[in-house]
Amino acid sequence: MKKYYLWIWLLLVLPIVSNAQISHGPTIHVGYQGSGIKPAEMNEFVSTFNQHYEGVIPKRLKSYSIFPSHGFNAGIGYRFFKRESGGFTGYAGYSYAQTRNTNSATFKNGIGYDFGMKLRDHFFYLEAGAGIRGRFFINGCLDFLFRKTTIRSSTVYQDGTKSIGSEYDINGMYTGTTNAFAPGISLGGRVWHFFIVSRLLYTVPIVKSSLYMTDYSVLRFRSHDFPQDFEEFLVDVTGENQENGIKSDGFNGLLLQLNVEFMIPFKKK
Amino acid sequence: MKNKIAVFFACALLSMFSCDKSDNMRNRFLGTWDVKLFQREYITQEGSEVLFSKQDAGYITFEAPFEGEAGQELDFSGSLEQESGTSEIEGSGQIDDEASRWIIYNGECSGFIGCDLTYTITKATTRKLEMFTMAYSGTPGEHYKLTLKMSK
Repeated sequence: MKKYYLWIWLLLVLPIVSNAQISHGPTIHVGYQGSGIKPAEMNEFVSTFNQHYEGVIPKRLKSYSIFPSHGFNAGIGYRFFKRESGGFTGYAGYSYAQTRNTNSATFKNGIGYDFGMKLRDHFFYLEAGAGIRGRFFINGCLDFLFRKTTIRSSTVYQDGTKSIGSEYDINGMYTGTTNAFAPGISLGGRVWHFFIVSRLLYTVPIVKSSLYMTDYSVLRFRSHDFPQDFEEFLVDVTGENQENGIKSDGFNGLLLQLNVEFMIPFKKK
Repeated sequence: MKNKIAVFFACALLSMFSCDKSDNMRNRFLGTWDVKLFQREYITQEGSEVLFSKQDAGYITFEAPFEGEAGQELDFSGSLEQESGTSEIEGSGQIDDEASRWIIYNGECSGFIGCDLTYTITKATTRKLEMFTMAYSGTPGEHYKLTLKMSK
């Protein structure tokens, strides 16, 4: 895979070397991001949780969609874009994104549970494509992503206190990481020094792993993994079943970005 | 222009890799704190009742187990006025990876597993620390809440 990266870098650098008439410069951007997951494992947790508390849970947990987590991203980059005509365009950059989702349930006695999902992404963009009339561009993306996922599992008491303490075994901060390729497509347009950029990517873990979302900070009898089957988790008081966990690989999938980018107008000598 | 671009990217890279959240939080804990409020409440479906509340209840000193060592481990000692009177406290624990809990090893009992006491951190600045821990009362749906507010 390193070879492909080298070729794409060469494609990006070649126009500068050949002194082609290209507008280029550093950029900063902010924007919206929707992060997708493969929700099957999380939805098994939801259905077994709701099933276990059937009859005493007026507000049930909701099923997760393929786009459960939304938030913002911001970053920097370097864009190549011919303002005079079409031709080669390219972009290399970095972005940090944080997207969240909260799923909560409340019991008849006023106590509830909050399951907060937080996805923190470090993006490295590498994109190349074609410009259209000096106004628009379409790029193919071969982006790269480091993702840290956290599930904050807390008990919510009648007075609104949210505890992630050890009074209940399911409480905790469960974390997992994935490194993923994010191939996809990027479309955009230019207005003055601003670019409106949209990206549709699909994140694919580089190495398939069976690592679970874990919380090792507190030593407990039950499993340290966030459970896939909640009823199995409750029954397995000694944590013998080491495979009843949500895998961190599942927090990958479709990804949508809509960014506003500003090209810093450094004066050319 | 090249210098400006280099500085631009260097600053961005530095900001990306310069912080370790839990280590920073551990450093924020270090030192001696005055306990401004130590309070025990009973929380039920009907509301909450304060069972014990003491302002200026003593002090707690946090220190790294080995001076200058990075990490999340944190020893503590101090004096705290509780319902049963003033007592000396000491122990060890850690700040978790997400800097959201203070976990006291064997805070509830003295076994290897299942004995840690966990405080949920609600505020942690350089001057103020606020946290609480919950405990099951034995009656379904009713709990004790222990709140600790400290300042420097």
